[in-house]
Amino acid sequence: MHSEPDSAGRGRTLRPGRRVDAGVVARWYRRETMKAEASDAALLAGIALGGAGLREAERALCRRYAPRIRLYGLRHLRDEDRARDLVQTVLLAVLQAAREKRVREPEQLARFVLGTCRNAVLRVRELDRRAEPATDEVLVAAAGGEAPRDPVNAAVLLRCLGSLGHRARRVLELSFHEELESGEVATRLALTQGNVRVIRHRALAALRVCLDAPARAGA
Amino acid sequence: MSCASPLAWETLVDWWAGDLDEAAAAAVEEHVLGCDVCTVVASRVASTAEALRTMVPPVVGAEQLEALARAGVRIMENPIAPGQTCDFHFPRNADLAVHVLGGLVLGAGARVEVTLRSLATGQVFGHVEDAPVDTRRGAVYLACQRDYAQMDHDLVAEVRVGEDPPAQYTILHHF
Repeated sequence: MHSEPDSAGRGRTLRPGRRVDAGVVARWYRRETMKAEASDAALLAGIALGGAGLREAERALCRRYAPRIRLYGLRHLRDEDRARDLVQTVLLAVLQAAREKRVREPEQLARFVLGTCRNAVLRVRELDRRAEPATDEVLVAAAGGEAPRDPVNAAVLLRCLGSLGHRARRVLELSFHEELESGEVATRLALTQGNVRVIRHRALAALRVCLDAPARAGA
Repeated sequence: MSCASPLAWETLVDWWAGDLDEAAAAAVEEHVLGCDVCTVVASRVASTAEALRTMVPPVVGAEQLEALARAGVRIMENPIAPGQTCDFHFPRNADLAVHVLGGLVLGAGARVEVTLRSLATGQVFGHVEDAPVDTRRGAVYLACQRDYAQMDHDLVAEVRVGEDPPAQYTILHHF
């Protein structure tokens, strides 16, 4: 029989015959540590183990991956609501896989999540409809609570764009507002593609700094 | 949080702009999905790029206005004639106000420049060199958002068609 510490560090006894990695369990039941620092493998082990710590392990995994999945969704779906739906869809699939111990390489969970994201995005595109919203409280909280929106004030954006040079502003507008590829931007502005990329990343960094500046509050 | 090999800002910008080949994009995505540090930096790229993608520029075309209306944006038009001074109260039930700067003679292919200045100081707020126009109505659409309340409320819009003297429209905003 294995003995595992509870949340207060005291030992308690597991049911006989249950195979548990003592090291994983020891980390797992130090809940405060687990939240921030547990490895993906430890979280997966905690979910597979079930029992009292199941929901906490699932919450920790959702907290960790929700912002990353949302970002992937925004990149590929270009829509905040769809990205949030994707968070729920992917997390549900990952949690189900974890409960059923189908994640073959726990140390490579990011790769598993990436594959799940790709499949989900393909389905969204093929069906051209929203994923069914989940009702699971963990998933809903992860999709909503861990996906901070970062609304940019239109007046501040206008002011910050105005602070850039004309060419930099045009590169940003053509790249991100009109969503042209760098080759097309280069043709429009009589630049090389390499120039466009350099101007673009510098201008975007300058714009970000301006948007974050303290003057924002009183702009 | 730490990352042994953080992705460069340039790489993340290229990724977001769709300028990486498939293998490079997949490598970035796998890294970001496994890394809090790079997720934070990539989120900064994303929020900045998304602000640009979804922004309503100060001068908009008729097609863009139609697309915004189809997307559910409540738009109110405010027609203004050249030389007119207009007191404009931003309506509570509108998301976007559009000043219709009319009375323009717009020949085919005419190049139209729009300059926005503070009425009080003359400071230029914005300048559009090749502005979209509605040739059917002989108008330029100036988009006004509620967020602009924090800017100078009173402005002069100058619209120059080709080499003609600019038409001036003065708008006194009340938010």
